[in-house]
Amino acid sequence: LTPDDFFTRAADAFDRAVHARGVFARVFRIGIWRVRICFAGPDLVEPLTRALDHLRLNDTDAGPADLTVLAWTGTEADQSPPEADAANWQMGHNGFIRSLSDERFAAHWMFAAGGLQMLDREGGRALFWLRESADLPYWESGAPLRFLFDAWLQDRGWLLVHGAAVGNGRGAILLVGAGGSGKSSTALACLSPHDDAGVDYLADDYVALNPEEGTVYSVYSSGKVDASSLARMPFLEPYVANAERLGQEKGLVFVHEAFPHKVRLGPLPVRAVVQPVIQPGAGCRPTPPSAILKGLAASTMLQSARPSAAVLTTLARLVSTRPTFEFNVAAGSVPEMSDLAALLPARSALTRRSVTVVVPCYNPGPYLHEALASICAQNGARQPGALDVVVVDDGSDEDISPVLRRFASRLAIRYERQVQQGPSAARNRGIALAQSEYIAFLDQDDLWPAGSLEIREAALTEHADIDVVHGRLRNLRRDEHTGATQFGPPRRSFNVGGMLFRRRVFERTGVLDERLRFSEDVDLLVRITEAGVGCRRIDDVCLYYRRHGSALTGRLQGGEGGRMHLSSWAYILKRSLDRRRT
Amino acid sequence: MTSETAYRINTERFARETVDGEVIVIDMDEGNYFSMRGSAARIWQLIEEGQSAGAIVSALGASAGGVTRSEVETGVSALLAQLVDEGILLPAPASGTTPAPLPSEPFMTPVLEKYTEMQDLLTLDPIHEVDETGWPNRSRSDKA
Repeated sequence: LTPDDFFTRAADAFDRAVHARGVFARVFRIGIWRVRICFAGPDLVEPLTRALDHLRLNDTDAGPADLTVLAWTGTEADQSPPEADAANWQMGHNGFIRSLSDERFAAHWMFAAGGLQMLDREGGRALFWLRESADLPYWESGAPLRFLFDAWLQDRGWLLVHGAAVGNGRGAILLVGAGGSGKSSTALACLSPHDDAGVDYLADDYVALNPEEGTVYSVYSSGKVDASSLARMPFLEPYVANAERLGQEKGLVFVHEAFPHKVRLGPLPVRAVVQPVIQPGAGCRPTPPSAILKGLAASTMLQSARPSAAVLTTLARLVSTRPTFEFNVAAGSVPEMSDLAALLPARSALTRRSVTVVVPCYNPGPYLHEALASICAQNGARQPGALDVVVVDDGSDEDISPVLRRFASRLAIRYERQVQQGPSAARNRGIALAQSEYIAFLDQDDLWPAGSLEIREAALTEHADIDVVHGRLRNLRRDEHTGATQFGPPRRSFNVGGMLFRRRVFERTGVLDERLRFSEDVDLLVRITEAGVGCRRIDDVCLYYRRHGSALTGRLQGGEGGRMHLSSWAYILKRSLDRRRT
Repeated sequence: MTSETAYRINTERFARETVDGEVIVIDMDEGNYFSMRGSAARIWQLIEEGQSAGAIVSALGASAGGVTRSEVETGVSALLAQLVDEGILLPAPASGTTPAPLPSEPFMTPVLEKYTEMQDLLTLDPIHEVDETGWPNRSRSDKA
């Protein structure tokens, strides 16, 4: 059986499995490419995509895929790859299947799981097949399709580097070293609620490197944590996905679910390469690049299915052109992130606040804390005062000032209280108080993804003719009891929380209509369109929109609520027509 | 189309509402919207009642003075044809009810005004794709 024959027959088996079980599909952005994963039946969807969910694209309008992966399980003769067992093939190192690999194809046997990954370089296709989904080890769920991504990125001149990464809007720090050296726990330490160094999470084990630009991209949102790290970082504990098997396995945390506003997607320029070292003391110490390269190259080559001299050259070039450090992590302590933050460039001093963030509040409960934390996670908030935050309390019964005080050192918050007049009135009060050229909105229970505000700012700054930037949003639902978090697919919506406005928009079109009970955002956008205001749509997810039983809009999506929405649309359009007719 | 033909509104795709006597129909798939005023809005009301084309012409003719039946007939069938053409109306059996009496008003040639300028906006929020339970809508969005 040639690799070509094998691939064709396996793909046919996939088609038959689809016929029997139905097809499911998901699209993700890996680096700068679109990867579509098609599943025969639902059993692998969650295990293979949970760690990639932060990179999910809109399934329908993502455009053609650069790589299509066919993923399925099962051992029925007509629905599985031919001769699918390592015993039938000539094996190379690390599970590499020599007899199924050539110039065009690369194949890998997963010994622990009993399964196969195979890449067709020319066809932009790949296979992922497993005997049984239950056989997938936890580390594969944490870093799914790693062989395919490794080989595929290498073909594009990129690397899947064995390293962790943290960063902020100004750059990333690549954390390197052999397993057990403290990469993971250093990266995960940035998630501590007590940490205010303003450094976010990219990766704890593998990160995609674009060598030409010297930038890194998050691939997997997972983090692995052993029992002793977990004891030091108890804030991770509620989010350990495999808690019942902690004796035999490392704890697996899907960081994107646990801390949605703390995950950076990249690209971020690599500003320093750092090797954590477990030894007494703290802080970073310059160390020669050669010392760093040894650990980085060895572990990347060992982890790679196709180690090559080119990998070594690329890593050597990266390390020799960046400052390199050793980072002391005292045994039993949580790494001090401010020492790492100091390696990233300082933000240039701002002469004026460029963005006013309006946060309308009414009895926000515990959510306000998360919303404000996600504002802090925007690059501008590193120095208090870089963002102008206006919290408008629309007559809450509860006292929200203790929450605001907790952010006093990190955000310049202005607190305004009014007699209850509704969310539109609260937003309008914020607009009236805005001191900045740009105005953003964030509701009390929603979150901004890390760095999403600066993406919107950049779009406005680059395009002088544009007055509104409109990102995508994803619904977020967190189970209050289990802490389990679900995300909907990225979509485009009217919600102003995913947008950024130039202040002059409101001078031109007026503010939100306080008389409307529903769809006041639709009304605003209709007026904006009517006035011919320049609006730019961007594909980045700029809002996590929380859905829960108690929020007004939460009930309005389907059924009766949907009909009420639509009837308000008709009213809004009628008014628009009337304005234009006079 | 015969005078016995009646119609139903394609509510899967179109939302409609009458605001201050003006009928607004929104195409949720394409993001276009339509307006009907005056005689067109009256015809719409009769369509909503499930009246046949013939019954609509009779009801309208009876309520309007100084107009021939054939003028009314031409106007009604042109509007119905347009509504069918846009996919807003689908053929359906007539309800057989007596039309509610219309206030007496002069007949004006009925017009279906079509607006496309909000297309980008009105196709934005796919609330028509969200099912009754609202979350998570996996069954539909997952299918490739």
